[in-house]
Amino acid sequence: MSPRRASRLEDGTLLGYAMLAPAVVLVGILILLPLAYSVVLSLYDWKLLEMNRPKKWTGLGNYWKLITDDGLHNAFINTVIFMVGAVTVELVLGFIIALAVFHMTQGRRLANAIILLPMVITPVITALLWRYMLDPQFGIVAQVMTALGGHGGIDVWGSSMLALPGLMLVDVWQWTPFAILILHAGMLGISEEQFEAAAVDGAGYLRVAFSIILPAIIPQVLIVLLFRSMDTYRIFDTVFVLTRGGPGVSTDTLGLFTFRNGFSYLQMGYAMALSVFLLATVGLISAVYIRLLRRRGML
Amino acid sequence: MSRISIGLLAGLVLVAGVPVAAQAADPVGKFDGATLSLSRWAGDPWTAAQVKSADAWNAATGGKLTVDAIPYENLHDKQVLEMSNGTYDIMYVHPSWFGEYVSAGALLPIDDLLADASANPPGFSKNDYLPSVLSQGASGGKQYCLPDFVASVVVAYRKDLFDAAGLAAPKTLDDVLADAAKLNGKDGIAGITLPGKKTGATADVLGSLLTAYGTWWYDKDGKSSLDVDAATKAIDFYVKASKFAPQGILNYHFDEVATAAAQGQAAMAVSTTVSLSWVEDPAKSKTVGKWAYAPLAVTADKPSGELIYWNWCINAASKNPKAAYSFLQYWTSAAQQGAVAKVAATAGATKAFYEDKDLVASLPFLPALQGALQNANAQPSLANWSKVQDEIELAVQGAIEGKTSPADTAKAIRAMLDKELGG
Repeated sequence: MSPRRASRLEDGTLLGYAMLAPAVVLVGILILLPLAYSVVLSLYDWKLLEMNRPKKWTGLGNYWKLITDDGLHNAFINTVIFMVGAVTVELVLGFIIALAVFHMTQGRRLANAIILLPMVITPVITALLWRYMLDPQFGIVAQVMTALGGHGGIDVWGSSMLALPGLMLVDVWQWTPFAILILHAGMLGISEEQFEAAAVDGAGYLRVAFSIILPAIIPQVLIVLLFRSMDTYRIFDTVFVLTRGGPGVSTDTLGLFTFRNGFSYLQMGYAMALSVFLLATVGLISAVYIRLLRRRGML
Repeated sequence: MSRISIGLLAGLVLVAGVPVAAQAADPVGKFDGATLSLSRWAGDPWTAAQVKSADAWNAATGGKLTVDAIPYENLHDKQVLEMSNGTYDIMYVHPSWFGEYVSAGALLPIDDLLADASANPPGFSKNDYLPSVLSQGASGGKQYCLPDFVASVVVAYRKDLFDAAGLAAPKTLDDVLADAAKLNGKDGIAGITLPGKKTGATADVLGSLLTAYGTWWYDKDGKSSLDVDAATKAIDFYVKASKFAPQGILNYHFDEVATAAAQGQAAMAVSTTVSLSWVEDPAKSKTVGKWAYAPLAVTADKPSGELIYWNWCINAASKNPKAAYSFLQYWTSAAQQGAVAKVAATAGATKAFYEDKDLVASLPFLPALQGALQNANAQPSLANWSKVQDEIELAVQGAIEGKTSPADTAKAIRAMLDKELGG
């Protein structure tokens, strides 16, 4: 036995690997194998209902279709707009509200509990809630506007112009609490000495917020960006319930587009290629954030 | 599939004194220990009625049939996913899915069962069904499914508002538009409401309008045959009517149309006879008893519509096909459909249904339905219709939003049909 091997045995490294092995094998079977199989299937032309018929090899045909598909281009643009818009608002609002909660001297626990409520509701129920709240005929918003002397509600879900911002609004309502939670936790980790020093220097509220608090919670900001970017990029349930991609294709997103090609048009080979594209692009987004987190020693 | 005239349907009702075909109300067969699952959309009173029928069938046959009811919007996806593993024995199949299911070999032909005397009540034959409706469940010379849920798209109009405005009942599509214009905005009520969402409802309404204007999506060989001029007129009606509709119709399925009508939000409604039953339901409607119904028509002497129906089919992977057929036969019988019709504004697909004078007299929607079905095309059931329908509805939404003209929309739809179906 070589000295190096003896050393690994003694310090428990091998034992560690051995204990880790079952989990690695399990992950390989449950995640990597299906993933590899999806990639293989994306190279075939086949319909979901034709499970027992031979699949037709198309090579990169589905990927070429993906490049030239106007429907996908539209869905991609909508998804990016949705992701950038919703995540930006959630981050800004989250910072402002977290700051307010951070400075609260009383009722902070109650405020946190109330703030977190939207997050615990399942997205499908949230979507239904907003569908009826913003219904231009019967929704509470329409009723209030009428009571205030207006002419009923605004047709959010039936308007190509407003439907996508409407979806962002729903996402912001539900997931800003996530940003608040993470950012507030980051703020609680800032040492008291920094605030005392700022007070001695006569720094005002905004100066403290932007020169002390914000730089200190950049890792938390990156975490919010990482998770919310990934989630909004893969958005499906809210859109499915509220608009199904309409009116027209104004709210069609990558998730919905993939689902429709797979389960409505039954083009599973193409849907697999779309899934691979979705995975690759979301991986790219994640890689950027993870790199930034590594630079800050967070990973 | 070619253009289908369903005058027979109306004619049958007028046939007085014809002896009602013998069709026993009791299920046929004994299936002790057989367990079956049925897939359908969720919605009462249909689901509740079917669960009740399943219980009766279970008690009579010794089988155990359970009903799996899920929202319509998810039904196709669920059926496709569960089809090959035999989870479902009986499936409620929408016309637009029928073609793809048949072409995939997912449905069991039932010709032998239909002809088997031991599997049917005494005196029963496939001729007990309306031929024009039964044929929608056939393909390639084989019968796969039994139909029920006969309905069509009609116009409902508020008698009280029409009387107050001194308007006569609308007889043509021009009348509908003129009346909608006159009534729109009075007391905050929209002139008309109709669906505009991409859920099949928009294609159903446009299909009915196309038939009224004398054209159809495809010919008897399934090849693109849409007449662009006629389609332009149909889309033009859609666009003009939408100007008098409540806000939000691009997100309206038939349900929302019926709700708006029931809540007194519109003077007229273009929708299915089924969904319009809501306006007569005191539990859902503020406008009970104020409605009358008329078929769509370009000229008053030629009412038109679309044959809306559903197919009951047996999964090719079913382990209990004979038991499944027993329930299909039982459920689509005149007795079962008659019980449902009284509360659900549907009609059956057996001749005996229309020969029951008391039943017919108790169905206020039937005259408009029968009028609509005198000149009707059946809901399309081609293998790739799901995608085609999506494209059609997308184009119509663009026209309603004013992004394209009716003429350009009609041309675009024709071009798409040429590409997808072959011209």
